[in-house]
Amino acid sequence: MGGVVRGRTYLFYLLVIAGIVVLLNLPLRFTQEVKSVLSDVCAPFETFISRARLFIDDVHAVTSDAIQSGNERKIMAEQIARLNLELQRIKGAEHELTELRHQMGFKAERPDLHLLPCDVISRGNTSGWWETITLNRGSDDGVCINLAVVTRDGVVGKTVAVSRKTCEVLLITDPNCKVVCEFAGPTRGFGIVQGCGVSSEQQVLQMLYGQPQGSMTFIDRDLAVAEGLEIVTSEISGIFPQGLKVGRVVQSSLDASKLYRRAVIVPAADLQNLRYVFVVIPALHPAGSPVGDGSFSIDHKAPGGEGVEGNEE
Amino acid sequence: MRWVTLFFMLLLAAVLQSAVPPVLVLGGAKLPFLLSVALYYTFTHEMDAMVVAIVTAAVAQDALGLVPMGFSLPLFFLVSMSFLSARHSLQADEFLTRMMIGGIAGFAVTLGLFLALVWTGAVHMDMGHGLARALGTAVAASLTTPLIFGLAGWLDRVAGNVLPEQMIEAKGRHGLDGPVR
Repeated sequence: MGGVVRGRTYLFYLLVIAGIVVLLNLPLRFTQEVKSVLSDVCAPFETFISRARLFIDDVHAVTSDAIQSGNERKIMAEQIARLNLELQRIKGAEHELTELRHQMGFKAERPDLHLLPCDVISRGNTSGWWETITLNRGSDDGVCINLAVVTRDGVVGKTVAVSRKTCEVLLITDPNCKVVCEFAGPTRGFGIVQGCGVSSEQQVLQMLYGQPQGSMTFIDRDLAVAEGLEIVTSEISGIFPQGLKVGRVVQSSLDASKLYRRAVIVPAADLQNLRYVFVVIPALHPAGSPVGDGSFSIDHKAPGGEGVEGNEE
Repeated sequence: MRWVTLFFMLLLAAVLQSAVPPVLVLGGAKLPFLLSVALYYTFTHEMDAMVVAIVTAAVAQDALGLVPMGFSLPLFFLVSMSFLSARHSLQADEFLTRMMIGGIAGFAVTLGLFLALVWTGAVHMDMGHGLARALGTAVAASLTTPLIFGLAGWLDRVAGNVLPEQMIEAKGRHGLDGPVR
């Protein structure tokens, strides 16, 4: 039995070797014919496989592109957002720089004044009853009460309360702030500039001119006070240095007594949007305390007390 | 922790009240955060914390502004005591009740302050504008009071102090000798 099986195996190997020899020695024409037939039979399948592969490749390309472009879009969106933030920051810094340059130009314009630059840190304090701002400088920096506070554009107000690190400034639009002023240019005439406080007239004018108003009272009744006339601080103003811009006239009329003229004024400084201001520090005498304790002394009663500028009342 | 929470709330309220500019549409009223803190402690804490909160809030309000020192304190006390006597009939854990409490307190304190300041000559303002300011503060306080009640209540819970609801309830039952923590 074993001899029969071994004999068949040998026969199988023999046939395989013979087949290989036959195939290797087939005529060329015949082999080409066989190849052609087989190629034709396989061609549709190959085409199908090829198209399927192309389709898969396309799908893969599309999906990978989509994923990639999605990622790219995400990265670009992040970059755009970051650049926008950066742009805003640069714009803010540029605006701040422009304002600081504008304000610092004032120091060059008035070398006679010792100006202490300050930041405005809040407005209206905790009560809101007075027109005030709070600055980030106090007695440690040489600030005391009744010092003029100005910007390059004009007078802002005066210090009314001082702590070591901060000070409170009463704006010229507050009724309690009174400043002796004169008209700039050929129109000579004096008056007292005072804030209007909250009144219906002020509210209407505030809407028209975009910021709070003040009034100049006790003007010579015969003086021709034209609209747009500029008002500056007077030399007899105790607190404020002479020649600082205060505002301009928007309308004038005789007052109730008909003895004086009264003018409504718009402050020169933009008091609604103050960021940086200067406190005018007086020169120091040898003892180290501010000069002019006499000239700057005021009858500082309550914040709203009369005689805010003592020597001009 | 109760005192830490109290002083943190007072500090926060003082900074916010000082920093937030006056609201022009509310007649130039400031947002009365300090008053709201005083009201919160009136309704939710026992006598010692309440008194400290009222005094500190009133003193801070005067000290951080130009109002002569001591003007706010009697008004804060008056308002707080009025609410303290009526606390058992008020559901101070309700949002609308808190708004109402803030509104009434804001109006009363601002009107009182206005009269005091005009009487002493510290401000020059007619009655109409004073009333407008008081109404504006009432609106502002009706917004800040629920906010402060919510924030301070949350802080009290986080800090492990007594639940405000329980305190209100207990204080309503036991008067000033409510639950002591």
